[in-house]
Amino acid sequence: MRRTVVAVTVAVLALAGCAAAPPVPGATPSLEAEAALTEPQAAAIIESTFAELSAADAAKDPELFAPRFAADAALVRGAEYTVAGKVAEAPVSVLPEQMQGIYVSRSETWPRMFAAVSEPPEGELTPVVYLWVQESVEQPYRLVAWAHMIPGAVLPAMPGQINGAEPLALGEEGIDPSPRKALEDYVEYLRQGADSELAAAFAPDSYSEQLFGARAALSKAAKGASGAYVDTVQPDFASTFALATSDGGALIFAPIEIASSFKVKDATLKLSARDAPLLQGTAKDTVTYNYRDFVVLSVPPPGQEELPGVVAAEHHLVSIKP
Amino acid sequence: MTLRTTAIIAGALGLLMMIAGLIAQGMRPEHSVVTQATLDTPVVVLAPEVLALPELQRLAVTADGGVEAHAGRPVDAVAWLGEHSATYITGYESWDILTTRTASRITADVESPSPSASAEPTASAEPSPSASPSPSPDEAGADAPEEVYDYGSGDLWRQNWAGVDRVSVAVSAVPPGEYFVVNSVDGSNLGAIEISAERQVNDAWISPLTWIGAALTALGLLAVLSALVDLRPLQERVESWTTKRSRIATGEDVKPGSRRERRLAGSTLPDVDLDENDEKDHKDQSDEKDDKDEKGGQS
Repeated sequence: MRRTVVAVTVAVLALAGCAAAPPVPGATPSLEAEAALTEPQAAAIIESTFAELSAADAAKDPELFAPRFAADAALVRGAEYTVAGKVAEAPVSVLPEQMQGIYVSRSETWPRMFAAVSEPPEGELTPVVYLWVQESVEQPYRLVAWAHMIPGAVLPAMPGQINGAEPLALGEEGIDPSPRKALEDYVEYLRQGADSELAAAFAPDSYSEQLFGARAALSKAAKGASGAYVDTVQPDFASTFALATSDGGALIFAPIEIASSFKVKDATLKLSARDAPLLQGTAKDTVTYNYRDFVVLSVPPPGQEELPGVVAAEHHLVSIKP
Repeated sequence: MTLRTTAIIAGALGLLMMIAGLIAQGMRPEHSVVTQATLDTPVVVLAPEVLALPELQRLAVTADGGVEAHAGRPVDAVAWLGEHSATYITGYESWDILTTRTASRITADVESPSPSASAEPTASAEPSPSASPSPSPDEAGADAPEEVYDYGSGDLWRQNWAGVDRVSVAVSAVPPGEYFVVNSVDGSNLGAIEISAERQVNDAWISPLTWIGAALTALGLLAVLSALVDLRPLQERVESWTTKRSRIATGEDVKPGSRRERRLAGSTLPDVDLDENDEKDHKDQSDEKDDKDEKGGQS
């Protein structure tokens, strides 16, 4: 009898322990969204950026937007504060914070970027294209550049925010011309002017036309004073990003540094009231205007007759040096 | 073996089955199980393949102070985790023990909670725990703002949760394929992680075993009782009653035309005149014989 009871007890205990074995992790499930940023993430970054910008604008203090502004954007806005603090008729530029499109990448490395296109601002201004960059995983996304769209330009369709756009290397061979080649040629076109052979390689844009127009006028004025006017145009490939468009083309976000040197002979230059606050020193016979421009180039997919062209660009004066 | 013996044996087996069922019911493991693991790092991580386990229901992490939880893309989370000491929950050793792996990042900076060796001369806006003189420990404890560790930007996280002393998140709230990362706000070690799971328990057999055992036990009990109790007086009474019922049934009141009346009257087979038929058959046979004789004389 005792053996029976023991046997039954053991059997019951064995059966009572019939919980399934602990599960073992298997294959890693695939991501639902492969983009580097989801829409709520991008919206939170944009909101944070413009909240800081609003506080900084109110105080005209660049320190207040430092967590979300960097590079050229910080320089340009800081210069605007400097001018606005001295010239009442020179308010800071209006930057719309409502976006009609956000372009995110699926980048898995740093630095990485996302861009946004604003709703059209009030007045006759065109929408603004913004560029945010995250330098490393520990750094926040910071606004590094903005530019108004070229009147009449059309931004190409971009992949949705679920999977994001494929980031392209500047030497990407599947695009003709490659992002690097397109930017190099456009910068060379800006250097050579409207008569350059490269003019035929790009669709006409108001940015280059205004640059060439100012160059012609200032060159003529400098010559009249026995001086010279020289534009030095330099791309910044390390800070240039390219994304694949939906149709196989590329959208290139490129900061460009332009230094415009104006020199006269046996005379002292006098700056306008609007430019004077940006002068770092005392102007004599030479001044150099430093610009931090931002250009967005669209390269069509291979096989199309459409020319590469600038869809957004802006000429930002940040400092003047004697 | 008599029917009574068989019933007693079945009852004994049924008793064992019922006892086994009741013990099993008492010993049955719960469907819901919470597995804990203590943590000695400021960050704890669950990879997407662990979060994909269908049994997992809820994750909770305790700490002394603020706790933040995040969900993020694997490549981003892995890059972020490379900068911090973290405990990785890799699965179950048993339902009571979690398997873990710890990745420690050793830094030389002990005094400052910030991992970055920033050389900026500007004064930090964050309160310094060592520089602020506090009037007394009690008052400082009541009013001092919580120390915040610099984990860097939170832009990489797709979702965020926060709590004080504890944060609890449903596993279903973390999208498939994403990492789940929890860190203490002040950079101190977390307390423990609790993982709630719904496991499958093979207990469907317990109730049938118990009830069938109870039924067999009852049957055996009846058999035992029948062996112990003398039923002959009862049987005698039953037989008497049966006989009485039979006597009533053979009474003289018979309904006219009833089946019983016909049965009592005997057979009701029809009367048949066998002689008349025999004569007729004999006559037919004689006529046939005369016809055959006439045919034979003519030939």
